[in-house]
Amino acid sequence: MMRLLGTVLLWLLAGTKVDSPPLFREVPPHESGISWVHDNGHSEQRYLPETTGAGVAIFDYNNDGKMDILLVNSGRSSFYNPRAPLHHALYRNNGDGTFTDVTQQAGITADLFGQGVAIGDYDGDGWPDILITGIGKLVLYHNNGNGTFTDVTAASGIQPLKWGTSAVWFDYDNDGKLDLFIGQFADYSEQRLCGLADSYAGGDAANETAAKPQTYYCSPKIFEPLPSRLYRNLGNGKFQDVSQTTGIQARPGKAWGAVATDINGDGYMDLFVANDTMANYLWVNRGGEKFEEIGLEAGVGYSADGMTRAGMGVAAADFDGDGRPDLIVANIDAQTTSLYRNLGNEMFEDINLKTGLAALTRMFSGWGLGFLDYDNGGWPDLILSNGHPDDLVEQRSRGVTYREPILLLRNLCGAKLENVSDSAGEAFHKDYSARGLAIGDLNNDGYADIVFTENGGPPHVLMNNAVSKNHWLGIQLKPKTANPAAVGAVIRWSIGSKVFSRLKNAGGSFLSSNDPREIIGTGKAQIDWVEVQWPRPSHRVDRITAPRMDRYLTVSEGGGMRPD
Amino acid sequence: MLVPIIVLIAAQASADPAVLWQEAKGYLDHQQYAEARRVLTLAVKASPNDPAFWFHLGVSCAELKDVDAAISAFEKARVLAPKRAEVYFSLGLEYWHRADIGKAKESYRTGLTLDPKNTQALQNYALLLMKSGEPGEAIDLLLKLKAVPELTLPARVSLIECYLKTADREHADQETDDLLRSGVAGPEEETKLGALLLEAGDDRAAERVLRASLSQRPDQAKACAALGVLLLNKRNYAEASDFLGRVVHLAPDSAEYAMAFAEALLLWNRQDEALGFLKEVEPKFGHLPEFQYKLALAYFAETKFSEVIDTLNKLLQTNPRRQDQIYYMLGHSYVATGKLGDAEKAYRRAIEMNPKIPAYYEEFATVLRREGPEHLDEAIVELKRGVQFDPTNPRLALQLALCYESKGDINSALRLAEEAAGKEPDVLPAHVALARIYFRLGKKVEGQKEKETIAELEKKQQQSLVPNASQLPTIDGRLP
Repeated sequence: MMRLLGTVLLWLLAGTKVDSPPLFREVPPHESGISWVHDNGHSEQRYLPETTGAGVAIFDYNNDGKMDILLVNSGRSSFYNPRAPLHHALYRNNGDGTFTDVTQQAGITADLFGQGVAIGDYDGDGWPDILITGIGKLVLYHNNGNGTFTDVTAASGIQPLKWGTSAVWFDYDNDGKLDLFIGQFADYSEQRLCGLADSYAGGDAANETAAKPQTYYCSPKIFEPLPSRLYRNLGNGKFQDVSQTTGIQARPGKAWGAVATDINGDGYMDLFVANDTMANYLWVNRGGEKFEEIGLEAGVGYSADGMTRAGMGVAAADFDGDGRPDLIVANIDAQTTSLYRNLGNEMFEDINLKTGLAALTRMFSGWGLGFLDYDNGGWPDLILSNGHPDDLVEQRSRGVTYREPILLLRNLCGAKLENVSDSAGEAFHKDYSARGLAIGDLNNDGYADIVFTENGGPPHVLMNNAVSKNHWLGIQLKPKTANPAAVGAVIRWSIGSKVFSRLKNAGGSFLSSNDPREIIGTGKAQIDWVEVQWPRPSHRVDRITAPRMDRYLTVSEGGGMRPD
Repeated sequence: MLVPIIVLIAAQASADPAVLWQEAKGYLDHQQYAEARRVLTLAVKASPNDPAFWFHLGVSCAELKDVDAAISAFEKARVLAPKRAEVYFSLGLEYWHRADIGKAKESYRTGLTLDPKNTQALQNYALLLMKSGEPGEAIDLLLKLKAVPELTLPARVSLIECYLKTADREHADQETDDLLRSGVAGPEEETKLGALLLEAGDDRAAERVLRASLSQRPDQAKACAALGVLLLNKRNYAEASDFLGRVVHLAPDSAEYAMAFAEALLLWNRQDEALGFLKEVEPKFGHLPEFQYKLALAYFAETKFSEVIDTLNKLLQTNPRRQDQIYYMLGHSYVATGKLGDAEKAYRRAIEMNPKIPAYYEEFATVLRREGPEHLDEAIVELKRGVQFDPTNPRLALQLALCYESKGDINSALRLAEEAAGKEPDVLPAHVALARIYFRLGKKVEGQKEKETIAELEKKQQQSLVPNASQLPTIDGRLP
C-alpha cells in the first residue's frame, strides 16, 4: 500500500510544473545596443568566403574589468565590393547590460574580408591587442591603453595569407612571449566558379552546365591546401616566421579551428588544427623547437571510418576529469562531431558514440563551439553552433536545413552528454546560420555567457541566468615572467580530499576568442585551496587557501592575489 | 452457285481422266481447292498411275492444310515420277510443315539435284537449314540466291544471319556494309536486320543498320527503341536519351519505352529531367511498380531522400520484385537522413530477402557500428555471414577491421586491415585504419610507411580535383 501511495505521489509530482527560468536569455539588440549586422557579401557567383561568416571576441579592451565584444566583418576584396563601406564592431561593455559601439574611436577601421579574431597581449604591456585575419589581408592592432588601437601590421613582420582563418596566441618556445599561429585555408581563387559537380552536393558537371546554369558554393575539396603559419615573437613588436624551421610548413592543410593545449603534459603547448576535407592535424611541440604532426598516429586525424571530414571548430578541455586535455572537433552534417578522449601516450579515442554526441550532432554542420560549465556543476559542458554552409542545401531534401539550432549539451560525469537545449531558453528553439562563437562572463556573475555570430546576420548575446545557484571561483591570471596570457598555466584546486586541475588553453572555437578568465564551478562545495603553476619560463607555483567563493580572484605570478 | 453445281453434275457423270483433269484444272485456276481435291480424287481412282493427278491432288490437299493427305499424294507422285524436282520440293515443304525436318531436308536436297537453279527451292532449303541449326550449310545456297535480283534482299539478310550464327563476324560485317551501301534495303528491312543483329549480339553492326534505317524513316518506334536501348547498354546515355525520347513521342502509351527513357535520363545524370518526365507520365504509368522504382531513383539522384523514402515505402506495399534492392536503397536513404534505426531495419530486411549480396552486409554493419559500441558484436556476426558469400571481399574485411578496432581487438583488426589495404591499395580508409592500428601496436616503421602511402593517395586525389589554369572560366558567370 505504501508503495502504491509512493507511486501516486511521484506521478503527481511529475505532473507539477516547476516554473524556473530558462538557462539562458537572449538579449535583443534594442536592449543590448548591439545593432551591428554581419555582411557576408552574398552574390550570384557564390564565392566560397561568403559561407564562412566571421569570428567574435570577448575581451576587456580597456581593462575596466568588464568584458567587451569585438565582431569581425567582411570587406572589400577581389570578389566583393560592398556598396557602402563595411566595418567591424567593437562594443564597450557599459556594465549595465548595454554596450556602446566604440569602433571608430578605437580605430578598428581596417577594410578587409575579415575572418578570425585572436586577442593577445603580444608586447606584455598589460593591454590586450587584436589580430584580425582575412582573405588576402590581416591586421594587427596594438592596444594603446587609452581606448585606441594602432595598426602595426607592417612593422610586425606578419605577412598576410591567401585565406587566414583562426589564429592563436601562445608561447610555443616558453620564452615568456606570446607567439602566433595563424591557420590558413586553401589556395582559393574567385576565378573558380562551381556547378553542381564541384559543390557541396556533388553531381555531374555535364548535366549541370547544360541543364541548370546555376553556380553553387564550391566544395573546399577542389582547392589546394596551403600551410599555416607560425610566428615567433622576437619582442619589440617584431615577429619572425618560423613555419619552416618548426615543421609547420611541411604539411599544407585547410585550417579552420585551432587550439593550443598540452596533450602530453610535457610543458610545451601543442596545437590541434581542424582541416576541411583533409585530415585534422595534431602538432605536437617537441621541446619548443619542432612540431611533429601526429594526427593520424594519435587517432584524431580521420573519422572512425578512415575518412577525412570537414573540420571546423575545435576546443580542448578535460572532459572526463582524468587530468588530461581532451579534444573536440565539429564537422559538417552526417559526419558528426568528434570528441577525442586523451588516453595518454599521445593517443586518443573518439567517444562521440559512447557519449551520445554523434547522435546529437549527426545532421548538423558545426562551427563555433566550446566547453563551458554553464551551471558551474564542475563538469565542462558543451555549446555548439550550427548551420549548413550551402544556402541551396534545402533543394536536396535530406532533412538538412541551411539554418540550424544551437545545442547545449550537459556533461554527465564525463561519460555521457545530455541535450538540455530544450530548457536552455528561446534562443535554443530557433534556427541560425551560426558561425563564430565565444564564451565569456559578460556581467561578471561567474556564469558563462555566450556570443555567437550569424553569417550575414546579427550576433546573438545569450546571458546565463545562473539558474543552478552553484558556487564558483573566477580566476584572472597576471603573469610576470610567464607569457602574458598565462597560456599553459595549470590551475589546481582541492575540494575535500580531491584535487582537480585545469590547463589554461588558448584559442579554440571557430575564428573566435574567448574571455581569458577561468571560472571554476564547484556545485555546492567550497574550495579548500587553489594554486597556479605558471608556465615556463616561470617555475613558480602560487597558492591561496580557503578562497572566498563566488567572486573573481586575480592571481599574480609571484604570490599576489587580490579579489576583483 | 449455279456453275459449280453444273460442274459437279458433269463430274459425277464422267470418269474420263481427260475430262476430270479439265474440270480439276478449272477449280485449281479458281483456287477452289476442295472441289479440285474431290475431282482429283476421282481422277487418281480413274488413272492411278498418273503422277500429275497425284501431284495436283497433293497441291490441293496442301492448300487445304491437310498436310498428311498432301504428303501421301506427293509421295505417290514421287514414286511414279522420281525425276520431277517439283514433287520433291512440294514434299519437302509439307514435311517441313509437319516438323519432320529430316525428311524435309532430304526432299529438298534430292529435288535440288534435279533442279539446282530453282531459286524458290534454294531459298526454302536455306531457310530450312537455318531453322534446323545448320547455318553454315545454308551459306553457299544464300550466296547463290544473292545473285538473283528479286531475292537478293532476303538472301543477304539471311546470309548475314548465317554468318552471325556461325560466329563469322568479319563476313557478317562485310555483308552488312555491302547491304547498306547497295541501297536495296528499305527502312523496314534494315530494322528487321537490326533486330537480327541485336539478337545475334552484334551490337556494332546493329547500331549501323538501325541508324541507317532511322535516317531513312525516323518515325519507326521499334527501331528507335532498339537503338536507344543499344546505346543505353553502351553507356552512351546522351544519345540513348535522344532516341528513347523520340520513342516516347512516337509511342506515348508504351510503359516499356517510357521507363527506358527515364532510365536513360537517370543514367545520364539528368535527374531533374527524369523527374520532370516521370511526373508528366505519372497519370498513365504511376500505378506500375517499375514507375515507382524509377521515381525513387530520380529522387535519390536528386538527393531528395524524404521523397525516396515515401516512394519506396509506397512501392513496397505493392509487393514488387527485387524487394531486397528496394530495402537497400531505403537503407541508404535513411542513413542520408540520419535515421540510423530505420536504416538498420531496412538493411536487415534486404539481407533477409537476399542474403547473398556482400554490399548489404557492409552497409548494415556500417550502420550498426555507427549506432554505438553495443552494436559491434552484431556487426561482426553479420559481416562474417557476408564473408561466407564472398570470402575475398576487401570491403567486408575493412568493416570487420574497423569493428575489431573499435572493440579494442587490435590484433584481429590488424590482419583484416592488412587484407583490405592489400586488395584495394588505392582505397584511403583501408590505409588509414591500417596505419592507425600499426601505431596503436607501436609498429612505428610500418605505420609511417602507411602514412606515406596515405599522403601519396591524398595528393593524387587532390590533384585530380584541382583544375589547371586553362580549365578555369572567366569571372563573367560562366560555369566551368
